[in-house]
Amino acid sequence: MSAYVRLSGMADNEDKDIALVTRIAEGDKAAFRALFETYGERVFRYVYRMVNDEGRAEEVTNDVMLEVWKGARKFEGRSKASTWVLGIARHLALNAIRGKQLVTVDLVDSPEVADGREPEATVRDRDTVKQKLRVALAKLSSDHREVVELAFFHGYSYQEVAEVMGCPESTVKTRMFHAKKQLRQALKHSGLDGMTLEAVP
Amino acid sequence: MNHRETQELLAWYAAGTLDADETSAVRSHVDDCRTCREELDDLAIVRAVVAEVGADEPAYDPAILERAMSQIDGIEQAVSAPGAATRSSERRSIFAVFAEWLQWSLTPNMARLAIAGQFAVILGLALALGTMRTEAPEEFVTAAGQANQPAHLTVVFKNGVTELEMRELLLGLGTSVVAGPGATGIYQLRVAEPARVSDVLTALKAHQHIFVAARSTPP
Ligand SMILES: [Zn+2]
Repeated sequence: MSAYVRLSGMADNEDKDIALVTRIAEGDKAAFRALFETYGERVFRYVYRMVNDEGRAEEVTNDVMLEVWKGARKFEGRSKASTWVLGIARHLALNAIRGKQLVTVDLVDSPEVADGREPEATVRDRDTVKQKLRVALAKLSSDHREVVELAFFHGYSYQEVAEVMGCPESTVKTRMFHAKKQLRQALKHSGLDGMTLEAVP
Repeated sequence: MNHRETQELLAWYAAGTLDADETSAVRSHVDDCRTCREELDDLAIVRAVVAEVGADEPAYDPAILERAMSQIDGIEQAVSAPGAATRSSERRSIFAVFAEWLQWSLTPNMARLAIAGQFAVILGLALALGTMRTEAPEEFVTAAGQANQPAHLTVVFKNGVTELEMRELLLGLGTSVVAGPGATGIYQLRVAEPARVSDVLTALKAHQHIFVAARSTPP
């Protein structure tokens, strides 16, 4: 697939991000735009999955952008620019949750799932597994879920996740270990294990 | 690396974000441990689901940035910290690379399109694939010592690929379906000539219809 080929061929983006933040620190609005044309949606997705409220997620994303503008000169280049930005996002999202008593991720109570009726034949098995996994994800504690998000959605290493979350690497590994256990439990109950037995004639 | 140590790193191995040393240490344990291999299959599914932007998730509104652009005019920037913002990176994540790719391959209009609907999912999938680094685990099971046995691969097709397209692709590569599609759309394939398995895997991974392809345990 072409995206993959292109991905392997690219270089120096991390440096480019750091250069963008440096320019933002000098008051360069074009650099600010460039940074968030790249990371705006990432920030929004991350925040949304934490606060589970579209309007609030948009407000927080806006706040993150302003915070980056204000704080760019404080960025010391010790971490990647993206983990620095997501660290800010995490901080503001947590404030939003605490301040407004937002109900966090309530997939379990969403009509689709709480309905109780089995999905019709029109819904394929694969969607059922997806749904079960999503429910299992929603049931994780927020710290555990966040590690999974950062690792699998944002593609961060455990070192980078530790940077974003501001905790030791060992804590990140432990959280992932427990999250993985619970998520696999969901897969087990979805009948996936029997999969390889359904040989095609 | 023993089983317990491997278990701690397995999810990161599945995400392809371990460094080269950790990757090879995990790989050599996984080669000999069926439990870990099975777990990796599950983790591949978890990763795919997490990486996807769900249909029920709201679209990102680019107007947020426009609003911020108009707000920053009146905002004072903080004082500089000593030694700020200069460091060359030793390590470059695929996430950064993906962001770069996104930036130069999408026009603003496409980016807007990307935010709504199906294309956002495709981007999520691209990200999922993208998180596999060069040193990422390509082989969940070693082929060594199995030279005479038929090799098996696991694939997941992208959404919207037709049965005819699947058939043409699989026949063209000399593979046959031995199991699947399972609950998550995973097919187990058998490669007739074991010697060709690496080539077949490379071809599958590069193919536009394929979401994920990896070596697998024979069913
Ligand atoms: Zn093991």
